[in-house]
Amino acid sequence: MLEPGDLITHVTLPPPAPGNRSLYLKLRDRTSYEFALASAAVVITAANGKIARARIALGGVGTKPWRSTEAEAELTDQPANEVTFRKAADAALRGAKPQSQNAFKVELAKRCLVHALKLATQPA
Amino acid sequence: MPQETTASPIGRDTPRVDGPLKVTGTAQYASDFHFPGLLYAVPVEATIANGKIQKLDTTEAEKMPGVRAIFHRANIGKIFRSVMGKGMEGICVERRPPFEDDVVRYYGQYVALAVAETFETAKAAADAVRVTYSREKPNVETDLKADDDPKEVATTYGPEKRLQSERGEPDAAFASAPVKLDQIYVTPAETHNPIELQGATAMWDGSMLTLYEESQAIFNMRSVLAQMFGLPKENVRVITKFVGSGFGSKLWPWTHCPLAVAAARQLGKPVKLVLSRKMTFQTAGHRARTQQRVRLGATPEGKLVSLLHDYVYERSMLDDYHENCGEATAFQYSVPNLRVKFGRAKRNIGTPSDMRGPGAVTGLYATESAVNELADQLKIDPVRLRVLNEPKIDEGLGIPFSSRHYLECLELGAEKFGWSKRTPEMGSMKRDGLVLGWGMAGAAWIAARFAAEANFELRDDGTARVACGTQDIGTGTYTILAQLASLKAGVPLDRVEVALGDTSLPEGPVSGGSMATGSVVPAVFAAADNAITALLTIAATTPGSPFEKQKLDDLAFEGGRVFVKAEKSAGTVPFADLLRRANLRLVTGSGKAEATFGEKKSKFSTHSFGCHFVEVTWQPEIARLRVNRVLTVIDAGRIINPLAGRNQIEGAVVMGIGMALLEHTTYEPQNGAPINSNLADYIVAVNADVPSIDVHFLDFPDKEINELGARGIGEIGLAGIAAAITAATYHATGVRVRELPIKIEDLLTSSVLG
Repeated sequence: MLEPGDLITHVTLPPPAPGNRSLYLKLRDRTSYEFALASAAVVITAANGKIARARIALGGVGTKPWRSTEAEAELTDQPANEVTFRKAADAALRGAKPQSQNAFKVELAKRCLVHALKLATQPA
Repeated sequence: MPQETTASPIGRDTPRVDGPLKVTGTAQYASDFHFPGLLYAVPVEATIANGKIQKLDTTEAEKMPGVRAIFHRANIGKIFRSVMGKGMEGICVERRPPFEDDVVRYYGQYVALAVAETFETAKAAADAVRVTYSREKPNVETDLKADDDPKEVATTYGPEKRLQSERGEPDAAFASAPVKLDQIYVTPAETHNPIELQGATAMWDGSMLTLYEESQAIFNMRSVLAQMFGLPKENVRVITKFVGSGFGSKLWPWTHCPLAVAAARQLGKPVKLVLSRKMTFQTAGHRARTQQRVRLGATPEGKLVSLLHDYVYERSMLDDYHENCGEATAFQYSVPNLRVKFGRAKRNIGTPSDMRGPGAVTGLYATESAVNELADQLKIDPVRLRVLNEPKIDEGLGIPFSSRHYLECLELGAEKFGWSKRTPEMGSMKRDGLVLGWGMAGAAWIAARFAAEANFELRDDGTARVACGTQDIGTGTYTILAQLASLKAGVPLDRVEVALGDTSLPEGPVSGGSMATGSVVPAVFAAADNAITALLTIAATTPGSPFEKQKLDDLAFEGGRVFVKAEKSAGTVPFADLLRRANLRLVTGSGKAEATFGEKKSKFSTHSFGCHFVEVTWQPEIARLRVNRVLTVIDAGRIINPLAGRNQIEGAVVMGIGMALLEHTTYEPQNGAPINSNLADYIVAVNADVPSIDVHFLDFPDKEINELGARGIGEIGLAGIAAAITAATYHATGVRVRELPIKIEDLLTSSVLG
């Protein structure tokens, strides 16, 4: 908990686990210099076509980065293929409450996550 | 023997003569000028779009240290209205002088003005003014239904008949046409967003007023301000040495100009008022939202039989800016039955105004899109459909074109782009895992001349000076004037001095309508010829001159040197030598050319033409559409500076990518504010959005325009490009977008998969 007068000086992240792959994909109207309409950050540990561990966060869908443990659960111990990715994307967006002008973000965020997972699990 | 200048500077790639000033930061833009005692003004912006000011409390603001005054309706002093005079004089899009009444008609309308010793204090004081309003719900409805207007309406540029053009029996011909298309196209409000913000620095010396303002039309600014402050024109001087682009937003005076002038008058000090980016969205014009119904009737073979173009545009509550979407409709195609008609819809918005290619850009987006859709419907190639309907004359006016080479544009464009390799089925072309879409569209833009005057000097140090009170809005007018002077004086560019951007110079043309270049040519040439005649007279009459006793008619001037026509080999003398021998610093000539713009009876229809071919890439899995390649061909007569000319077209294409894919000004329905009034939320194309742009100019000089045959190129590059991009998008995705800009949510409906 930050107290008055405290200042964040740095953030320490653990080193990536061996075999981890991470990827950030950002979708937006123009190519650069714009906030995401939808984005996905994924960290995947996979071996022999099977996902051992997944960490998933979405951007542009709420007022803060949106971690989806539901998507992570759908991915864990599952084959790294499009069917799994789609299940994960559906799970991530299940219960999303779009507003009058951003309903498209549900579909866009799904595509974003599926594509990010695809890229992160492609053979190097 | 000094080398003669033989190669013509006309038609040669010429880097900007003012480039070094700009890249070294020494070019002084209007708000770069500082004066002793300068005060800073910041307006108070209305936070409602419809209602009345009930109370304006300045107590707190006035008490702040460093604040000199808070102006409002009760203490700003008299600001008169202005009217349009003969010709193009006295144009003002927003006629109501600031603070004239207590009514607020659009969000951001200025209701008070804080003036202080520093900008920061003025801003704080403006924020501290407490305004109480009675509010009404603003009308910023985006669906445009035409108001009940008379058949003829007043507009910014004079009266216009709402039935703009009609021939044949358009309704009957459409009804009986074997193939029909009937669609509505929508273009959003767009804001110009030149990088240099608008601003005015005003100072008085007795009854003499000087204004530094980045104007695209300094003489018009002078005329309007003279009227607003009850001064003779000659008491007002407007100075605009450089402009950081305008795109039309700086053509006509906005309300901040009289505010700066009035504040300077009341306080007896120079006052500077520079708009914020947000203010430029509210009070400095924008491209009007349009809603255009286009009906096309055709034979199965692709011959147009009827064209109906009915459009409605938004306007502000008090003003009548006319967004002429029908500008090119009546002449672009051969069609026996046609009608173009417009209506208007009043909204609680700041008044729209001219934005690059006004009317033609919005109008051609609709009509060219309709022609592309008809081509798909008929299964005829869109290039071929255009060739089939090429007119022999301007069928709207019934007169020939001065020079129309549209077919050559199409032919060259198709060849260079590789159009013959296009397969018409949507989603049928692929490369590197991406779906490709190819589309094209045509372009047209008016060509004419404004009146222009110029002075020309030949000087005893072998330099020349050309002076014309026009403006360089970043497009290269300094360079064009230098090239013209270099040609006539026969001296290299670095021996030419150019003066512009000051109403103390001979009256030059507006930098608008793509007409500045075409307008200055005959005036500069006439001035130069008069200066040369003066020089030859001196050569023939000065005692001791090598040409003494020669008849004036026997002398000639070429490449900067004087000689006897019949015996050039006997020797030529540089003009500087002759002037020095006569103890003259300079000879001068002035020249003038009349306007052709707005002529009632023209013998020819003068326009520039062009076409765009576009490739987009489509990545369905992430709904990503990018413009990958643009090829543009322009028929604009003779191009005086191809380097700057290509730059103009490239810039317009980039703006067109913005128009098709990104730009729209959105009015918040509750408070009526243009809600995305900053460069983070108003999305324009960035460098990474800009693909390879290949520009080709045809070279058919149009001698009806001027001696060089040069028409304008500032705007035509933006005409048609959006229709080419939406056509390419349809080809790639199968999604037909008829409301700009194309959004990701539109594309998510695509059934074309990778």
